[in-house]
Amino acid sequence: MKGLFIGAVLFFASCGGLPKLGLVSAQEQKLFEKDCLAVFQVGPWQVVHSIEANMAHGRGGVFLGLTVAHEGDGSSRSVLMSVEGMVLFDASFSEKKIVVHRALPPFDKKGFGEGLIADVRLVFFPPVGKIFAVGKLKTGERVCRWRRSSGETVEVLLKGSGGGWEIRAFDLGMAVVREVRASGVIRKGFATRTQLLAKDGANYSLELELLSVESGVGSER
Amino acid sequence: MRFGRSVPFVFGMVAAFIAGGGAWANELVRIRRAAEGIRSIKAEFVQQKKLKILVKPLVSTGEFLFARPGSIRWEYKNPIQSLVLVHKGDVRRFSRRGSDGLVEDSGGSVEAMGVAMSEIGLWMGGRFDESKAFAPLFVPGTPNRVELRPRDKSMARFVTKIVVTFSSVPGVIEALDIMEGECDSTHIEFRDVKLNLEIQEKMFRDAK
Repeated sequence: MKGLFIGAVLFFASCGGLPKLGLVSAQEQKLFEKDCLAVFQVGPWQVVHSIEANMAHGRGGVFLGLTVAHEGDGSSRSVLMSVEGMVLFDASFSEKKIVVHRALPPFDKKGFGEGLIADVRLVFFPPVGKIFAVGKLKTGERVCRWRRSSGETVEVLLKGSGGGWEIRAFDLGMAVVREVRASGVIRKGFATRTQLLAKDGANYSLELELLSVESGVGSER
Repeated sequence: MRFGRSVPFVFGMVAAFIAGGGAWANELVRIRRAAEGIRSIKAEFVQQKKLKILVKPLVSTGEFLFARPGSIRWEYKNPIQSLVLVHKGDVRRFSRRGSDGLVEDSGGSVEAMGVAMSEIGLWMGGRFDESKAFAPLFVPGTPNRVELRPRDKSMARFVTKIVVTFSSVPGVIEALDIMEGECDSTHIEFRDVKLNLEIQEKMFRDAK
């Protein structure tokens, strides 16, 4: 009973922290959901990005990122390489587990792999959980909101024709912890420019530029 | 009886091995002498990175400059611009960062590239026997090759073998193949190779 009460308080507190969505018809709701999900491509596909990482105190670097979504079982793979092509980090992941194949220092630090995969999931894969709100912001953008089983919220905001999209992840207190801004030309469903901002304690940003995309082609695992 | 027959055979094998080893050593000396006649190298390069999971290889292109004894300018121009300069013992690495242009990197990546570039400097100079990281083996054929195997087990986890393929010009390297495990590899091919041009020192010192 006490748990239920706390849950109810959290739910209302959470809703209070998010911008209100204007109500839409059931038909529009279905259409919005479909468009929100269209941001995430169904496998198999593989994308290569240049990644410019900017961290605190001017630290950072430029890397090559390869992300592969396999067909069918939801398993995926993420590889981080130096510009020269050296594999620095390589991991397979599914909804339930992460298997690290290679992690060279400093990418072998505890938590790095989980953090990287969480960012990759946020950018390229549909949020886990259920859609609990769909509607329009006052400014006209269409929004879909998911709630994870752990209680955190993820929202996709569609910016209108040719305007790209944004993805935001919120913590339980409804503070934005990650923000993804996808823009530029859309190639086979992937934005040519994507920015990820970490707004929690991590405080870093990633600038992704799409170098190549292969879709509908299965690759070896 | 059986032992008696096998002794000459084993002896013959050992003798052939030693003779062969001697010939390989001579070939390495010949490569080194030929490379010593090369003061500088200017070449374009095309790099193909193959990974088991990649549908198509990742292709990068750039320019390579080398001047004896060990100055190197290794510049990737596409798809991402980056640059490594090695000159008089200093190693500097630069990456393009948005509107800031080429920005000098610091930390582990510079150190790692320094190690890699010092190896490439040895190979370009034909000094394979001076490598602390790799043991060379001459492989006769058309074209001639040198196979480099890591001396250290920890290195062998990441690089299983490097194959250096020579062009028809004595001492000049045509391609490098870096094997990383069974299926992953990097192939670097040097094109439009020009030898003994006057290369200004600033090309090894300055990013611009």
